Amino acid sequence: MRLAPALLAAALVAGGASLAFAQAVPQFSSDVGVAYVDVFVSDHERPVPGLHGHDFELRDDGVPQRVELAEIDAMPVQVLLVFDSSNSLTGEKRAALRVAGDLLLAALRPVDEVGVIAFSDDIRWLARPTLDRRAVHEAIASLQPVGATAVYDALAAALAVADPRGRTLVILFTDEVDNSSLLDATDLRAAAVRSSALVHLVTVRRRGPFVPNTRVQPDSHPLQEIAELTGGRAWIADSVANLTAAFTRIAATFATRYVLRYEPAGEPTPGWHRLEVKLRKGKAKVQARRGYWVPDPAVR
Amino acid sequence: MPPATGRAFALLLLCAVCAPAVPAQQAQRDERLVRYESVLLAYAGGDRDEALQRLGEMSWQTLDAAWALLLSQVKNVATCPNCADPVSRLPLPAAAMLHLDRDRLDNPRQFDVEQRPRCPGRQAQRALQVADLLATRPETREFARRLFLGAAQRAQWDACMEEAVATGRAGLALFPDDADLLLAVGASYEKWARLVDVRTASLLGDAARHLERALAADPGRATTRVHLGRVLWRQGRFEDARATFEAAVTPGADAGALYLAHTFLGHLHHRAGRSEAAVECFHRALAIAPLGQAAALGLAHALRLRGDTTGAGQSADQVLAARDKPLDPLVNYLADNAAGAEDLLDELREGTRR
Repeated sequence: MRLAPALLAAALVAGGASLAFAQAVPQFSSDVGVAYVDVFVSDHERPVPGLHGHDFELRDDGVPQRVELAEIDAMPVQVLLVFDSSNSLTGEKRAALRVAGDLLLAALRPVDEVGVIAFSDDIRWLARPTLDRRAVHEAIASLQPVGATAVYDALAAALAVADPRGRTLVILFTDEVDNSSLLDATDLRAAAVRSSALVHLVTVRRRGPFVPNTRVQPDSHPLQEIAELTGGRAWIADSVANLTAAFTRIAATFATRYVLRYEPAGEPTPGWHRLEVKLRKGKAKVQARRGYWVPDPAVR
Repeated sequence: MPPATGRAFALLLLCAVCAPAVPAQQAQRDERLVRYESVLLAYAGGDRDEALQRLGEMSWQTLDAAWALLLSQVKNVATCPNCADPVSRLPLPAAAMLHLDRDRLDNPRQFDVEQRPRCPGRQAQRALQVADLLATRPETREFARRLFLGAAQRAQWDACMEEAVATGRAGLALFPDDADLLLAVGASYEKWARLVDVRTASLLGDAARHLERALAADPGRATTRVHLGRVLWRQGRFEDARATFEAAVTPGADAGALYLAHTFLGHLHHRAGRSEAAVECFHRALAIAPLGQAAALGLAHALRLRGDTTGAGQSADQVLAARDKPLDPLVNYLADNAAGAEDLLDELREGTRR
């Protein structure tokens, strides 16, 4: 299993005066300005626990911010499982996804909602976000392989329906090259920077090129950069048998993440704002989204 | 038998009638030709499984000899008025389908697309050689044209791009102004350019040239304009692409092509920063196909980038919640207008039954 560095999370959301995440809104405006950033810290792939707000250094467009840790127990997570159900979903992969789904469900807290989106050339809810774990389990078990692969459109759909008031974790599984989407990586990048959702990509290293000179290289994926942009990452298993290990690692990060809270100074200007998060001391790796987008009110 | 490479496939197609001459008398009594003819007659008579099995059991040495003998009979018809013309005597359209069907058995479609696809092989080449022969006679010329088209589209669908282009171009050598074949070849080049990193500009240029010829041959076909618009867009000719999509929006045009023209126009406007025009185009597409997935997600994306999070979520949710959605025309489009290949070949096959 090739499991690169760390995982993690990041969602940046600005809210009103309240710290409660459920009341936060996903954009900055002139009168509100509380931001939350999901962070995962690891040292040689192992999560680093026990950190405090003052251990972190956060810069918003290069400006250092005063951060504190938010209480994550009060922050439900919406998890969207976006699973490839195209023709390439073999029995072995289906079995792996069922195991993976159960692993993820077991790692969540009772307050966390889970939804399942299946995609081939058809993108559909198998289960809307729910607290009912059995419904989610059955939805994953109902995956049937049929059709082509619209992975870009599926991710765009997930980002569009992600709860704009809270934190959404999108876990995208695909083992195929996109061949049915209207949207492409450029569109997805634009959607990802405007979303507070954190995206993890899980895929299987391809055994061979579909056609000569194929665009996809065995050790990379076009969506990898987009996942990293949101603070997530790509998990590339070297075999179907190792797929569950990737999901296990994602589940493990649920319990070991930090949410940083800060109040950006001044009125945020429309456009992209670069975020940098690191530890004041030590060499542990910090994973967080790379920035956030403030919409221009004049555009609407 | 290992599948032929695309290049070898193309070379063989260039030499459709490349068997040595055989004396007519020898041809008439040769056991190998008798066996071959017996298989053809069985297939045409409806014993297809048996015929396909027997064909599979024949060696290529036997098959090539029988084919050479048959061709020699064809050549001799010109100098021997009393000799039977094999094109009239034998069910050669059935022969073409027999070879094509045998090729499918030898190279079955692979649904696990992680594997390299099994592309048309030697039996498919022989089917096209038969079609080449059929194209010389008025009564079977249309069959030959459609066989080239179906075989080219099947190869497109299977992502066997060299074979798709070679087959389509072999058809164009016989039917140079055929709009169907020009569209098939242009769309194949377009798809090829999507799949590879190298030679993209050259492939898009070939695509544009064939699609422009297809449009000249049949200016009323909106599907061709949609393909050409996408190629022009990929070539960076944005205003030409826009004009081509807009020209596809004509009364009476195929609904799928209209939907795609509006959807692609919406995407093009969106990329150009013309947000309002983009949203309007996506709405027009959705007026044609209310559950159109591509248009709805294009709309959601455009709304999202305008800051309309609620509208974006609603548009995407509508797609996700819909059950039994009809296949979005975009899916067939991305298969390069080749979704009907098997239907066309089925039709040809049924027409060969005696």
